Amino acid sequence: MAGQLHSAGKIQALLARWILGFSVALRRLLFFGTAVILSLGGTLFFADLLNRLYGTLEGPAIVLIALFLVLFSMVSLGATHALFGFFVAPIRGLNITSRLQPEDLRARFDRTAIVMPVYNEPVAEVFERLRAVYLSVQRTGRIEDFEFFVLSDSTSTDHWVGEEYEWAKLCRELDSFGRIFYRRRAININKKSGNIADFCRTWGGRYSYMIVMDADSVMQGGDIIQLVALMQKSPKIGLIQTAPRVVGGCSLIGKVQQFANRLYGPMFTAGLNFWQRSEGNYWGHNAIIRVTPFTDYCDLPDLPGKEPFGGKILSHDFVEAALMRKAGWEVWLAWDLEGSFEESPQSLLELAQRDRRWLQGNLQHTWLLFAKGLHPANKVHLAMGILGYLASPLWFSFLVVSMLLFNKQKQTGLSIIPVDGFFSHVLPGLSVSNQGILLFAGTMGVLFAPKIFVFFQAILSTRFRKSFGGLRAILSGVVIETFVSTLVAPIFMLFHSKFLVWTFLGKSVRWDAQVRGSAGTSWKSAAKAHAAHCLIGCVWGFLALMLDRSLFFWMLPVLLGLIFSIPISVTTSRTGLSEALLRSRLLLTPDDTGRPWELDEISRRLEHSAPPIPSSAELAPFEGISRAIVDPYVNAVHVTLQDAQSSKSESLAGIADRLATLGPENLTPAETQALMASPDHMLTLHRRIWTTPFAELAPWWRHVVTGYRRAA
Amino acid sequence: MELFDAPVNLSAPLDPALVDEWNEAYETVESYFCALGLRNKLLLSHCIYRVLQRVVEIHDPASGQKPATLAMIEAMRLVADWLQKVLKIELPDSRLAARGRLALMLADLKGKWQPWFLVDEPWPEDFVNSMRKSYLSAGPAFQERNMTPQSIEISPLLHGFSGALESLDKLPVLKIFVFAGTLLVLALLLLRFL
Repeated sequence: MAGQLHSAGKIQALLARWILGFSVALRRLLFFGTAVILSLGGTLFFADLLNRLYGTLEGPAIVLIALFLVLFSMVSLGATHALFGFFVAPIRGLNITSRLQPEDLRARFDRTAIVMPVYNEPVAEVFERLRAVYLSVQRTGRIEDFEFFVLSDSTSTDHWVGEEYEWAKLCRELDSFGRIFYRRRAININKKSGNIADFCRTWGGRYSYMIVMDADSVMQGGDIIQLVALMQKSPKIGLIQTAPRVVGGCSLIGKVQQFANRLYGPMFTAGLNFWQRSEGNYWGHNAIIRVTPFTDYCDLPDLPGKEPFGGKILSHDFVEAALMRKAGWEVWLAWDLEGSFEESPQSLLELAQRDRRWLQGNLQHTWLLFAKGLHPANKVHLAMGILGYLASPLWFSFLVVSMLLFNKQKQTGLSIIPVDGFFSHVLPGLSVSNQGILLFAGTMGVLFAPKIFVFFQAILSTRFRKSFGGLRAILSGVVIETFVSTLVAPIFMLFHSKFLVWTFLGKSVRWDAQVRGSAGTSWKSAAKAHAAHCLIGCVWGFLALMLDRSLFFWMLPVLLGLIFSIPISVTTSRTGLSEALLRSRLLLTPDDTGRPWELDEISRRLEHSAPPIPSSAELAPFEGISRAIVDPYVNAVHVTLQDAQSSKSESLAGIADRLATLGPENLTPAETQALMASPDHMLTLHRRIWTTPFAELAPWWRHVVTGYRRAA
Repeated sequence: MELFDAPVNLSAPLDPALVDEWNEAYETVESYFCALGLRNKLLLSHCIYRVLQRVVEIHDPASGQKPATLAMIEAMRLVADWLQKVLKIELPDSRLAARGRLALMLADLKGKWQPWFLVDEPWPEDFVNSMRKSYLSAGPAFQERNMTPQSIEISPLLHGFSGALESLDKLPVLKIFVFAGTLLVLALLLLRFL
């Protein structure tokens, strides 16, 4: 009897698995079938048009069709995501969060670490965000289940010292000693993925789950609880990624990105979730990870060869998700959790800097497309990541080849005599000009599909409409966003193309912290970065005008962005225009109409925080070491956190003496770091600077001590 | 509150030529106490007088030691002695000073406990508890896990391609030529059709 029950159970499980597999396969067929039909249909229509115009398809026309196919497929894929997202978003049962019952949120939780890797990021902002997350979790009444870690890889001594002190202050303010921890790595092996791996190796055994944040991430306590509850309930899940909402946009480009992300983002992610299901992706932060499979299966191998294509994997997140899935663990996207936030770069130059890093990382993934054992869904994620950047040079090539083809036709001096084509048979009476107009309209339709769906959503949902300030605000915002994106797109086309060439030539990426803020790009930096774009735009425009006036006007949307790239870069990085738009209730997002208290708290505290004494500007460029030596509290915190085993060596004594008598400008960065890691020397220097008569101090130390004297 | 009752006695005659040096001693000690977060001017003055009174007693102009130096040594000693009594821990001088300053910061001397700075026993229980429990730990006890890089099986053809790329890396000029040559060939092919 027991055996029969066992067999019946097995059959039932097998059947359930088969039905699930069938339903996922059906979804993917439906989704990618739609995308393929759109892509092939559009490309056929385009090829037919070329054939009708030139009477034959050869050489550059074939190249042009091939380029069109790739580019139009990508646009179609985006539109398909929006299309499916629009229809499936309201179906809650499709989301992983629908598995949760109210009692799951009250169940016992295993211990979870919330880790925030940082790398030379603005210190005050980082700790304010962490504070907000801590308080948000505390409000849920489940703070006992969580421990927080700031995992620093900061190389700048200013950041190092600042982070230590802010951490100590935060622990005091929240009385969170033994709950918020700070660890700094002296050597940044493998960058961010190495930082997380180091955490796992050291403390991984203590936690069942870890929530990985970014230095600019914020997550609401309620959502964190839901993520842990989901992990507790579904033991097969290895990773759940949330879809971070972009916040904190202060410049025009920042605000436009925020608006677009909030408006279209949920639709795209719902579409993504529709087809990927348990073969989701990892975006590096704002995600919960089951520690055991992560440590067992997700340590990254080196790729064959050296950088830029081989060596250490730069964009680790996609690969970690693929490895997790390869080991049989599910990876989900909880797109509907609304309390997951991140900031984004606030100028074109910062965006380009980030893209430079991501481009090389994504190109490395080319190897993995041919790796054995990775799930096809993960390969689709990897391919989409690669194509996201390859699209730029392909678009550039498409424009160039189009112009060459146009020129060829013009050189013949012959008039175009259209011939019949496939579509003129399907749609009798379809003239070439009408076919051109139809192609243009179709392309625009696919490009603007997300905007059209958003319009319908705004009409259908009062809550959605109100959260963006009403229908008029949404429509005006979409127009502004489209205008800015159109101007900016050709600039990124050239940026990405250049980065691609650099990568091919072996110029590898420096790991710079993202500079975010509202100060904006200076005219000088913009001129330096965009001079080539401007020149290319002018020459291109001139050539187009020489060829044909109508061609010039067709090219104008691309040309305008390039010719005016310098003022565009400066203007979009400033806050003035975005503030004026906000005052006119344009580009409003749900954060403006109903801001979560966590984000409010962060902004309020950053606005009202008292500047340090002496000020950072007074101590620049040696603020870190100066405070760590002179300030009694900063010195105490710093000394406490250094390894007590680090003894007083003779070589360091010489460096310490040089620092005291000549000032920090006479030390190399390596010497400064070595000295700062020695608690005994730091204590001795603190005493020495304070007990040396003012007149006998080195000029730098006199300058520092004067700051404290003025405060007195 | 012995400090407030203590008579301030700067009776030792001060050499008028040394007034500037004594002023500097005053200023240095004041800066240090301010850096520790003392904002109560009355208390600050008393603390400084107490330090300087002691320095006046021990200062020997013939020794060549400046009053400012002696004053700071005395101020640091005074703080360390007091911290030793509050914390009741045995540490070498410098470490004790750091541990004590850390406790002062974490217990929030600036905000809550300023009136008790350098004051002798008895102290409020909350103050003592707050000082004694204030210590920082960079992390909980280690509970390690192993992580071993996973191998990814990549097509042998790509390994060959990687080898070729690596060889090109060793000859950067050749690499530029190969790259430029490829672009040139593509452009020529395209132009041929035009």
